Amino acid sequence: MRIDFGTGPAHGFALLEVLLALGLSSVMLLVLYSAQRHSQAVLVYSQQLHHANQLMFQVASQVWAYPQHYQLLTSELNAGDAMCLAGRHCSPAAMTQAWATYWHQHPLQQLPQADLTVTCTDRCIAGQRLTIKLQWQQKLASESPNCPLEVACVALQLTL
Amino acid sequence: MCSAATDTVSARHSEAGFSLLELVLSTGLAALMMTALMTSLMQFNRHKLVAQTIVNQQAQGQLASAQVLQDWADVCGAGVVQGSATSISLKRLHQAHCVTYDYGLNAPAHSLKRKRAGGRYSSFLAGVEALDLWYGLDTNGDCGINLWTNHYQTSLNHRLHQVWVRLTMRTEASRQLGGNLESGWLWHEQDNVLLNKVGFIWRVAHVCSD
Repeated sequence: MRIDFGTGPAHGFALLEVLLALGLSSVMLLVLYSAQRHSQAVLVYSQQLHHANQLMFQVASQVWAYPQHYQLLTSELNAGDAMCLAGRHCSPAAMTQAWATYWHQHPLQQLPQADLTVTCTDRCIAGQRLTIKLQWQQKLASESPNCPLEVACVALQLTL
Repeated sequence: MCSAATDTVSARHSEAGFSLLELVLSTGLAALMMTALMTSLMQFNRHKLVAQTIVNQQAQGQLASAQVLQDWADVCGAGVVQGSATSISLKRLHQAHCVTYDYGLNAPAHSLKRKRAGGRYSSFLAGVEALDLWYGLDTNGDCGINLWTNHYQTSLNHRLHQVWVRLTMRTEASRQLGGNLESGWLWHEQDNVLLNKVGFIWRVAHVCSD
């Protein structure tokens, strides 16, 4: 069966025209998809920064609470006793270890290859400056003096 | 007229017009492109909804912590008098007087409520599903927190250093997100809202500065 649109010569699209149309449509869809992916990546970055700032706020609070044991706050060992944050009496060292474990199990999980550091310029005594730094892998992050390319960094400086 | 109509669509074999194969192919191709376009548009729509929800959640969390911390900034006298997991009483300055304020969760209204001594409760923070307060205490006088508890009563035997405020916020979101959530999101089936956890620490100032 054929559907006749007239009695003139046969008209239609050349193979080249069809291929061009298909190619252009594919490019259009690809551009749309890329734009969407980029927008999603920006959103993920925004969410990561939000988590990072919340975490920095908590770390700063605990640095103030345990200035003598600040190094344990960044320990990656999951040896902290969770009950120290839920009703059990604990020593300052155990308490800082519990916070470190809590952060590594919860907020830091949101950040890929996250690294949390707390350092003092000289010694961690009153009057000295303490820096809390958090960095993680993020492809959208640009290079800065203290931060390599594709690594996002957030830092907080406190005077003890 | 009748003859012209029968001429236009006829079953006779001719070189003009599209063959059945061409029609099927072009229809299939069009369907494929429409499907791809529709999928892309639907994904874009969902992405837009997710983005809006995330921005709402972030803003709501920041606003909640700022509002609570600002309200508790001007404590006076004994500071925090007593507290439980869902309520806290503290002394705040009001017109140059140190007055007791009670804060608590108003579960039916999904909000935090606040009351000045002798007054009535009023809403303080909207969109709160749950409140969980933890009190960081120094019980041995070494100026370090050695106990986190969810019950506190002012005493000479211990000093309150920090209050860890853990809120579960309710965020309005499109029902289109209900069945397909991002990881870590919790959907409230009955009320069609998203639940979002917000945690921050209130440091009671100058506890060990003397």
